[in-house]
Amino acid sequence: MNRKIHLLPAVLLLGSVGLLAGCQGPGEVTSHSHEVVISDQSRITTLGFDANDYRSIAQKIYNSLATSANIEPGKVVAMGPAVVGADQNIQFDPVTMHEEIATLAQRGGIFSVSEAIRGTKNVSTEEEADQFVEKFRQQVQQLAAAQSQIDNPEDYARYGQLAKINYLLVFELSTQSQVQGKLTEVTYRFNCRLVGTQTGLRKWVDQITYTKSYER
Amino acid sequence: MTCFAPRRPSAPPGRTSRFWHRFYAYCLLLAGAALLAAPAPSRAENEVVIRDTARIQTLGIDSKDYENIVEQIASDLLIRPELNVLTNGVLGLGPIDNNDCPFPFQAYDFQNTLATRLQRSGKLVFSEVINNLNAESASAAAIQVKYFDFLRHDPSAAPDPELTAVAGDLASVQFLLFGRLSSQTQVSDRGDTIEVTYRYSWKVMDVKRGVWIWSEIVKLVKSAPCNAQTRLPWWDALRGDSPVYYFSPLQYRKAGEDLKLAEQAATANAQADLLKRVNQKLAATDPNLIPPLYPAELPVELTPEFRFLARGESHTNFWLFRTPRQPAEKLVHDRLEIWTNYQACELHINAANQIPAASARRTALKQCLHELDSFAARYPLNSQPIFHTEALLFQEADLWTSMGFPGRAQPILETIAKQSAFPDWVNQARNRLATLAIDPTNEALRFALEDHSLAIVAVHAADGRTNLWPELQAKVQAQLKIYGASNIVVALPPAQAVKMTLDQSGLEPGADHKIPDWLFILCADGATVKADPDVDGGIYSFQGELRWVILKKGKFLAADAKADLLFPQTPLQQWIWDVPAKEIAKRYLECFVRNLDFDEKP
Repeated sequence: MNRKIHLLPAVLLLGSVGLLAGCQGPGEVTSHSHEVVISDQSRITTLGFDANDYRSIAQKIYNSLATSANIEPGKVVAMGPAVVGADQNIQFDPVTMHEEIATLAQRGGIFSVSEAIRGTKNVSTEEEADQFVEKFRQQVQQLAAAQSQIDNPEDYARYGQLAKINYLLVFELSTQSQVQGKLTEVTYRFNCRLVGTQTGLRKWVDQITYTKSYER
Repeated sequence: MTCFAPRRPSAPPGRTSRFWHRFYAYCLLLAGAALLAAPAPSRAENEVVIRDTARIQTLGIDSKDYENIVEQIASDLLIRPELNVLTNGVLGLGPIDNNDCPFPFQAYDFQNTLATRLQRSGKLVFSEVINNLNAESASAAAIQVKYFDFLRHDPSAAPDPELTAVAGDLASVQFLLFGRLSSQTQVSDRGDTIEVTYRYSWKVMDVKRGVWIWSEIVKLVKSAPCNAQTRLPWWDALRGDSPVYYFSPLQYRKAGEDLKLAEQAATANAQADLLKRVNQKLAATDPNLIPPLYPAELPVELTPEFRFLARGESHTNFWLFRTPRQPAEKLVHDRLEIWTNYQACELHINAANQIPAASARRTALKQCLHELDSFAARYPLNSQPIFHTEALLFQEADLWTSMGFPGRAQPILETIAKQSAFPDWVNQARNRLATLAIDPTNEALRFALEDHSLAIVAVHAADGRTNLWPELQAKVQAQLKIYGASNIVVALPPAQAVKMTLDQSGLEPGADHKIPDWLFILCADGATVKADPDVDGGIYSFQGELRWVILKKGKFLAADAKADLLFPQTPLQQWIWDVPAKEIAKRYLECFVRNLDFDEKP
């Protein structure tokens, strides 16, 4: 009988150890099925246009705009068109890039960002890209023209009192990949320009090149 | 026999007993401490634990993320200088664009949580009513807000009095809070870590000017070891539809299945699912009569993230597809409209056929024909046969034939024949039609003239020989009667007609003349009209310009500039000498028909 009673502490001991191992403080993070780490920066860098690249490129474009575009105060810029002529295998979201540049510009106060119109397109030829840019510029002009002919509530709601768009921020992305032995290299080239909506003149231009390499 | 306790026979019995007592005491203390250290509720499976915050963290967007991101966005807005602008106005809630993010996200909940956090700061005020969380885009939401604003200032412009009542005294909304959630999933080169970057891009827009007042991007990167489990989707609930896209359920690759075949099967399954869902809207109305959407009408695409994930070696096991909502909804709307119109047309035709008076019945059937005609013009047969459009066209062809206009039925049947769902029926109908004599000019004249009052007016007798005029007029009148224009109310002799003032704005009749539906005016203005006595039946010769004018209900409808327009292939000088009066009248009428506006309802 005494020997059987000796089982009790052993069970209690094992149970308490198990209990201690199982319980955690209320502030700790437990994953559902695996350990999840949270941060504000991506830790994985790939040859593709990855999560780190958007801000980095946007910052470069913004710096160039802020230092050399000489935009008069109070000017309004529409984001677009973004033309992606890149390799279709590379994931690139032009809307994200728009947002990154626009947010930096808005917060830096170098221009106001219009939400009235925006445009992105994947193109395969330079001619197609040029046509898209010009078509977009014309759309902005049509928007301005429509504002002077408002005669019903729908038109008022659509066009009434919209800020006049002074410039378009155009960027085109092209990529080039090269492989030499174990080394693979991808070059991203952003051609950026600020185009006057009325004159069609390029107020500011810049080219930002970004190369990523990987050795197997 | 198994011995659990240590046994030391050499030790005195008293020491053994003390050892065990101390041991029990330690165990009890330890157990007590463990119980105190453990969280209040036990780990029993069926016991509910209540907390303020969630503890489970996943690679997807979990409840902790909502709190963290809301806090980060709100904190930024509340310390930025732009806040000074926003405190002067009212904010509305705009949409969240999460179309490119495959993960479930409760947009409505997030926006409201953020608005609550911002309003509780005491610096911002949100409208409860003028929000547009389900708009396709922020600019679409702004348009809606501005529309309300317009109605508040001009209630008379509201198409619906209810809308005016809604707009009423509502506070004006000057700013719109809207955002976009996107994500990017990456796998390390070694394939041992998976990482998802969520990008919350939030903005406040000045509704009137359409420009951003404030913007901020908050990134949240979540990573986890990559294993067989994480390669599979790590979320339980699938993302819902957005205002812009319908999303399919997640498609999986079965174990051992060929990749290419699996992708094809996934695409087909996703399309079938989306079709089923969209077609349910039709089935709810009438499952047997409205044709469902065909696969070719509902193209599906991979969500952008999966387009690239699918290329990685370790992530080819699942796919998420979507289809744009707007075209799908348009197709459904068209189907329902076709069905409604089909029913209405059928009712109208049945009702018309019940009218006892022949002329009234014919007029009513003509009205149905116009209805069918305009309906068919709105919904041409496209690449996929739509049953009701075809049925309506059949209906129209039948009606034309039964009313004595087989020439009008012919092109309709030819159109159907190109892409009919019932080719045998079409061929039978075409064969029946081939046995009938078809004269398009005759039919067109009859269709235009029958049941109308009509006047023939000579404005001027060219050479003053009025005795020639009645004969010409009689022949024209006889010809018109052939085409059903039985009610010729005015036939003015030239002497009276010339008193009328004729211009392009209308015809002023004399006091005793009523204006007929149609005025057909023959005018040999300033010309010489001669009879040729050598030819039997009378031949009139004209020198100078012939003119004609058609007026309908006193309004100018058509006129020629010169007489040779009537006969473009024949110069005036060649035919004026040898065309009999009857022929002239017929040619005038043909010209009349060519210039008729057939879209006009009878």
